[in-house]
Amino acid sequence: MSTELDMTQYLDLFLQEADEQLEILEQETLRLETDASVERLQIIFRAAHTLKGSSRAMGFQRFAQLTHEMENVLDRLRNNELALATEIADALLACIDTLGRMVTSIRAGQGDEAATEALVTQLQDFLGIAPPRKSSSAADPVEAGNVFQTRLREEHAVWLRAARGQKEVYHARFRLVPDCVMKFVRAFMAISILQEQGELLVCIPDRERLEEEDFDREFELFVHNEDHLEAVLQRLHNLSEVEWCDYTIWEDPTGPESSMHLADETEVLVEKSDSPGKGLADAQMGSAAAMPPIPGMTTPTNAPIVAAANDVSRKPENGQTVRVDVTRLDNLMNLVGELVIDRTRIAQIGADLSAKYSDTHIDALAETVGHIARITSDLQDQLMKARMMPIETVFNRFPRVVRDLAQKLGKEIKLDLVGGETELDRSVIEVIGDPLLHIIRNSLDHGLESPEERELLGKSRQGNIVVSARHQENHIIIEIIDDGRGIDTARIKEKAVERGLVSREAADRLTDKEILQFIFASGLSTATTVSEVSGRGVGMDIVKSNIQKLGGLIDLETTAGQGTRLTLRLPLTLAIIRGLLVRVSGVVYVVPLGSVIETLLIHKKQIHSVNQREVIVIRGMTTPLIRMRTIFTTRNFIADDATDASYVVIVGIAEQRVGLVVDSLIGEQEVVIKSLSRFCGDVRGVSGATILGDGNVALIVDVNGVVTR
Amino acid sequence: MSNEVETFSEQQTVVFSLGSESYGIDIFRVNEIIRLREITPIPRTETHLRGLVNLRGKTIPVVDLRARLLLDIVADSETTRIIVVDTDLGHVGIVVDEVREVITLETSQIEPTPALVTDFDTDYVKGVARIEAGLITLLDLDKALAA
Repeated sequence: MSTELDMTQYLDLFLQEADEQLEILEQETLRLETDASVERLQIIFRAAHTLKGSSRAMGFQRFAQLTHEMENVLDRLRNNELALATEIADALLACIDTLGRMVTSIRAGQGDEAATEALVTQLQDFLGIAPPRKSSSAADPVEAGNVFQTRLREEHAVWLRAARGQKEVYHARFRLVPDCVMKFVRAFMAISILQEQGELLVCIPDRERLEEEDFDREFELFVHNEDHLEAVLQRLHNLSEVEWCDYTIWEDPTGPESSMHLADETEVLVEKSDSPGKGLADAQMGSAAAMPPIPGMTTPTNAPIVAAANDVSRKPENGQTVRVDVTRLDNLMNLVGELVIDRTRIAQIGADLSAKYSDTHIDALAETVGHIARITSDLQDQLMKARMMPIETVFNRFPRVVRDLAQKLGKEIKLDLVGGETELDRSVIEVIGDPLLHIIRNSLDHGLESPEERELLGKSRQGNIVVSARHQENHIIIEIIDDGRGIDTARIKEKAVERGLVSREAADRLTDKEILQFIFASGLSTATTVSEVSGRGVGMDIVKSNIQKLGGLIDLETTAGQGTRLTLRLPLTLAIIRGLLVRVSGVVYVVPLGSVIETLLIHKKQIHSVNQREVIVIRGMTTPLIRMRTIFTTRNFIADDATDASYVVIVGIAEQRVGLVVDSLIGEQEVVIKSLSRFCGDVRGVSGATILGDGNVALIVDVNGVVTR
Repeated sequence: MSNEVETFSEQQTVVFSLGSESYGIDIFRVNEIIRLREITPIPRTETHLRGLVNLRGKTIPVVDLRARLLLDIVADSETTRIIVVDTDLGHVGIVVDEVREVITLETSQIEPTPALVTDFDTDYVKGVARIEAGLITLLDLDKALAA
């Protein structure tokens, strides 16, 4: 059937879908351990089912087989015939990992290569140990024998009786061949046949489950139909891949105590329209509202599924979305960036002209320029928002990592993720994941105690980690809080002195907060054992420098015995910043406003010399000075005669404050960051370039690079 | 892009002058030729890297080829131009005193560099071409721009 089609064109779609479904699978399986609701199991089942279908259609046998076995296990789980145990969850996660590897292999053009035999056997073993549950609810799917057991529920029998009052109701029953691949297509064709000259009243299983092929081989349809019974039966027999079918006048069973079992959901279709498509949508909405809970079932599985799916899975049901290639967004961003530059230029030209001439045309120009400026700002805003993604996409990696690591370390951990909907620019999202993971790993490894230790301390056995994200003005604040043992500042101090990072005398004069900063120095680790996860002391310094490269700040607080809190502060976007324009050695530079604390005009009398370094004292704080002219030298620059007064820009990095002495201050401006050409290489103290309103290039100061010599 | 082999029997060359001497580069490497404009210097870089210019919203590094080839520095003039070329590291501009013309050279016109003719490292030189007006030193662009 499908083997003749050229499947390569569908490969991309398959891979995309596989990625999505695998992510759902993993997320929901992880959540199963705390909340094993039937809704969740249904979602997981459907994901596995979808993957089975598409991988089969694409010819990936191993993939399909593994998902098929998963499906079997999940089916038992959702029907309450198998109890969820940690080893089952572990096995499912292992399967998901293997499927992920297969996807990578397929992507690389090597087919679904993976060792699946062990997992398949393990999954089959689970099915073996499942005790058959005697339940009044689940209907046994027809196994051996040709006995077709109808699954009509009482409520709908009532409705059908009413329908029968108007016209005869017919009952069509079907059993598909065992290896039927496109079950829904067959069901749909049966429905189509019956709807010619007729009207579909009830179908079992309901439309949604039919579409998702969430049934074994049997389905039944209840209809009104004007045609002769034999004619319809003939048409139904002509359907391919139907092992058995029957079409009879429906006989009302004598009572609810008869051989009817309450089983799968049925759906009442109030279909009057000609187009089954429209009816389907209406009917689904109708069914979601109208489904009463099935008596006898231990958990509601009907309408709640549609509603629950909304909050259990995070897909936006209401909004319409469009898939956009990320490179297109990047290109748009570049274009808008150039527009912003030209807007500033035009505004400047307009202002210059207005100053010089008085003319109605120039007034009109000024007005139009103002309008363009506003529109460009809006455009910029909207595009930035389009590039924003919820931090959830980063958070999603954490549960799995925490679970695996906690298991490995023998610790019990509860991970809370708060504020997943907080949005960040795509460029920040890409880089923020690894540093956060590192911090979490540290916390797990060193911060949180073992369950026994915690009990001795009177704490809960379960250690808690909370990762939260929120907006604050133009920034995003991410916090990682644990209730572990906190950081021992005395030990840090000892290690720092030991490693020669600071002298004993200097160390004794440091405040606790200052001592904590040593965490971010490379080579310092107070871990007594080095694990493969952390402990070598080369992590936090990289984390800090990565955060700073993003223009962010990282800070930490700790209370011995109670826990630690790490706070990251990041700008919302990397592409455009507000800058302070200054002049140094005749050249204009841009200092990112995010780093600027204040600007001063000082008299040379205020400059003191301490240890051969220039400092000033502001409000009791001693602030070292850096003369930018010595760092940013310009060839052939001849300075004006030195004046008594100097402009100083006070910049802050974490706890440090430094004063940058510049020649003059020019003003504030929003600038589009452009990277320095690769040809220039790394220039210390310069993080990028931009184009000013006058069309000239200005360099953006890397405050961190300037301050750390 | 680099080390192109002369498989063509002819080669189109952009001829420009640095001081009194004429030089040529392969036209396929040339992106555009622009007038001299404000160059923002980059601190703490080699002398021959003059800085960055704005080319329609893009920041392009500009190299002073005279300084690079260790010729005497000459002041910019009305005829000074920036030739924007393609390199593996993106677009780079080279400052030249005057852009003369674009000519088509037959391979037969190109001779290997005679030693002692040029007063800088002959590594940069691919050959010498003889035309009516005189000699053109053909530059190996990548070697000339390499750090």
